[in-house]
Amino acid sequence: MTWTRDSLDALPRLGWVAEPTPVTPLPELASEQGLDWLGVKRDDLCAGLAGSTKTRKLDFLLADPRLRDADGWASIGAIGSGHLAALSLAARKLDKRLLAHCFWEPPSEDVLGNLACIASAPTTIRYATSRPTLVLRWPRVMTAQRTGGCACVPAGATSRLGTLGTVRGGLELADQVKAGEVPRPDAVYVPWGTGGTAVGLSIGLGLGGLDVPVVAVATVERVFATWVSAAAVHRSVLRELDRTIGLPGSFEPASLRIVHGHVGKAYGHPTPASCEACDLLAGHGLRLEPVYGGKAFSAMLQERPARAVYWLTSHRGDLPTVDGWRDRLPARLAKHLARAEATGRGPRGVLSRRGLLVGGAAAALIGVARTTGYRGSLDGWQGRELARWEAQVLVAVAEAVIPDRPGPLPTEGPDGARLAANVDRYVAAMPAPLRTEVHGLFVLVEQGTALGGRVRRLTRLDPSRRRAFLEGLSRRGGLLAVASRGVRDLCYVGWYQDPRTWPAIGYTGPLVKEQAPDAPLRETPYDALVAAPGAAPEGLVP
Amino acid sequence: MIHDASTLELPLELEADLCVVGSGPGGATAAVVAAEAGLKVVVLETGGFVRPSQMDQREEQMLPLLLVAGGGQTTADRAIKVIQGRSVGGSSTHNINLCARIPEPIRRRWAADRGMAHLPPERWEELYARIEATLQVSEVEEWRWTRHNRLLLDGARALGWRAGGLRHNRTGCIGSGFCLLGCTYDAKNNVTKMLLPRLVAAGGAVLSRCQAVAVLHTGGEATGVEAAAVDPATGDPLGRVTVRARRVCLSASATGTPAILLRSGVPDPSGTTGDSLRIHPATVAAAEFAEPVLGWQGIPQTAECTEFLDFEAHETAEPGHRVWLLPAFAHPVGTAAMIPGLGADHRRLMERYDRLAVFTGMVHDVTEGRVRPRGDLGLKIDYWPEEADRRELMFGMAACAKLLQAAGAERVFAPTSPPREYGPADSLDELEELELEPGLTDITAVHPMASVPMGDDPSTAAVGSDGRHHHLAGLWIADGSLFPTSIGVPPQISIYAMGLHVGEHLAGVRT
Repeated sequence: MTWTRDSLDALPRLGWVAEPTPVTPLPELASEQGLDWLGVKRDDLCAGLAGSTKTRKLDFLLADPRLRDADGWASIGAIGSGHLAALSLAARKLDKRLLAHCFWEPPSEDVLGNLACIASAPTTIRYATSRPTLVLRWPRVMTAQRTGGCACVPAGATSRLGTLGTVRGGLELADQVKAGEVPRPDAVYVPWGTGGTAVGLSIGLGLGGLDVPVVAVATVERVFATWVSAAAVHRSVLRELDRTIGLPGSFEPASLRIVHGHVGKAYGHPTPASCEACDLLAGHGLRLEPVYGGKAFSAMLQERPARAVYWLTSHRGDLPTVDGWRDRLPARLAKHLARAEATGRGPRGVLSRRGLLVGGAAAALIGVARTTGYRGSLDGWQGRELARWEAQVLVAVAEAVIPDRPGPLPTEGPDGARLAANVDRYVAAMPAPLRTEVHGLFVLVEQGTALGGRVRRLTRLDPSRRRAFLEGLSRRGGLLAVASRGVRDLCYVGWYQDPRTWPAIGYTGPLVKEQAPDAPLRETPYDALVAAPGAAPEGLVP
Repeated sequence: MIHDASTLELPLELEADLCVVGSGPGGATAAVVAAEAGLKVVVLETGGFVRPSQMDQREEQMLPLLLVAGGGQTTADRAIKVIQGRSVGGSSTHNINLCARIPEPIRRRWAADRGMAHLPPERWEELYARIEATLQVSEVEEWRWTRHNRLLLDGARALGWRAGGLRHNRTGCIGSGFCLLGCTYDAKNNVTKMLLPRLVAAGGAVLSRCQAVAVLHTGGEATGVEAAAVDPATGDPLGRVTVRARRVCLSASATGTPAILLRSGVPDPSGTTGDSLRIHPATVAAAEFAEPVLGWQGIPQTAECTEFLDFEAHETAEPGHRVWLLPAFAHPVGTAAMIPGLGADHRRLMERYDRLAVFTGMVHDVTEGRVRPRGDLGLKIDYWPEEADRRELMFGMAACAKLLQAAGAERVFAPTSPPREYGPADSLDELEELELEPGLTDITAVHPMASVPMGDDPSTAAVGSDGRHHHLAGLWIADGSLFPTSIGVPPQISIYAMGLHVGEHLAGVRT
């Protein structure tokens, strides 16, 4: 049994991508390079946004109610990220705001074009000089469902839903081959950034009955392009497909091969070969950028398959921007850009490649340790700021510090989920640096059990041992005592703000009724002092 | 008018005669003086405008709206909680309306040490008289004193210690007791009530949710302020706001003002900017009484004990000369965070919440802390009390405990680590001998000041006694940063006075 795109189109999506993108044959270039046949799959002509394979991914991903109904989205990428550029276009189209966490990469014409597009949308840009710095400062954007009041969009839009878009792309190519529009290739070449495109294509081609290998050319360091990460995406997408429309029992995706050795100095840096590849394609009227597409194309030319399809993943160029977009950048990023443009030097403090690899691996390990194995309680947790595992830590601490004896929470107050929700609302209103510290506090409290020689993290200790651990931290003084006190106080914030706890302490409570957040305000003389939202003061400089 | 910058089209550039950074007592007063003198004034405020009708007396709702970091701001080592306001009106929106003049011995010492040509004794008296009239400062009638406050007087009377009443700026108060969460009855004679209508009537504009980043300057002259509109929910920057003005007045508090000065690269050959912060650090002691105290009801602080405040003897090494004692009750969340212990220990105390009294000992500090900018919008506070202040803090905790014991408490609690409990006849002397260590004893500060100390000699001060910056033309300071030292009393009306004083100088009303 083979599938068609109609099978996938039954799933929730925005419907931005409908018609297949064409495959442009390049006979002269194939001949020059010693290939029998070469075609370019033109995702730069994707409808919906301004082209690019990201449109396919966002088509499915943004139909997820979690993202569809959010006021804004948060995501991560380099300052010239094609993903963030596409997401900013989607944000404009769907009237969302974007919280873009960007790390430095050398500014090229393409990078500046994407950055201008990102900054021109209703975007708040948070900037760090490197990926590890960014991940350490804002870990939630990688690990949580929400941050800064925005729903998190995975890096590169690579997720079980986003990847469905590229599965559909694979089906599309299979259909084109079956229809005789495109000769059967020996391989399909595609750049690997977060892996979603390559994995999706391999599944799509397999579903379409076209057993052609997908060759993914890594444009990121080896630690970020591994079989482990490919297999994880594979599994989650296949589970999703099986759950929603059912997979054939004997289904096998097309084979996927990851090719390394083309990253060059580092992620985001062009190589001579990638620049040469861009020039080659430009000579045939096609636009390629050098840090993803150029590297993949040059790798393909080195391998010289007899018949190849190259998947052009980038956008059409000339993205919409507004005048003065540079004024919207964080001051530090603007400074670094100005220096790089004047001197060619990037910001100081960017980790070496080795440091990046070690840091990335360490961050990945810490991330796995922090975020796995938390199933079983607080299912359906919808925190604005706290991840589910953090809410679980909070409940675990509450069970240790609130009852007379460590154990279940007393019945005269909120249950664990309500207590955690109270704290979540409190933390969400804190300024960013303090929120970061609170997240660090949870890491410290949860993983700090190792300080006492315990193998198990806090949430896996019984409540009595949790209390003993927290008391031990208090006795150590300094920051550890502050951390113990801090998490204790958060529990009391969640507990004693609940009116059900007040009778037991004799508190008579507020004298005025609680106001719903969207309730109209009582009219007061002060209303006349307040300008209408959006009304600018006098003295505006045109 | 008050404009919410987070709703405006960004980036935004404005022109004005004067840009005031901060809408608290100092900034708002300076802005009103300047606007009424005919200047076109724009005031930038990081927080939002919270109308009395929005104040619903719930800690979880109001603290994030009214306080920096929702009340969670601390020193860099997390050892001391530093409470500051963050809304239009600054700390005047959430404070308890205490009004006390800077003691005359302190003002005299400033004059001797720092020149203070623009602030002779008669000028101070004039400023206080005018501000107290504006704010309708008065004694709180004794019939309105709560049991919590009377306990402090009872204890002082039993011990033979000096004590008395405090003056407030409130009219129409119903004694709800929710002052710390903003007054929904609009009884505070604060910036919102007394100054904002005047500012708007004089054509002044307030940009709320707009955080100043730096003073713009070129060729030795201020040219304006660069700021960021901030997200109401997260405080994250949304876009740039630039105010072009040839006069800039920083009134961003004793932490915000030096941070902006340093971030802006404003020259200061004296090297004093941000290096002499005082905060009035305080410790507490709590006690349980047999009869209900209901400490959350009524006007929170009307009584004070000044037995250990000796402004003439401030250099004395022995503790017991620089502590101000007064009641300090809080609502359930605040109290739960203040009370030591876990599990049953904590719950038993909370179950006696209606019978608890809490007193605080606030230290007229000599330690010089440090403020530094952190990134575009943040700042870092380094402060750990030096030996003399640590002794004074523990002396204050012991004095609070003694007052509570003398007032008839059944049990007195000291929030040390581990917590200590004392009966009615137990000796409390050991408390004075305890060593204060970071993280082991709660310390809270609500009065940052003295971080850009004024003085007439440019080699030892960045700012003159008229509030004019010595080294950058067009730049003025008008907030508690100006105080050369700690003042030992609540700073509210003195900051209003600085706003009036500096406002008249910068507007050319006074030369």
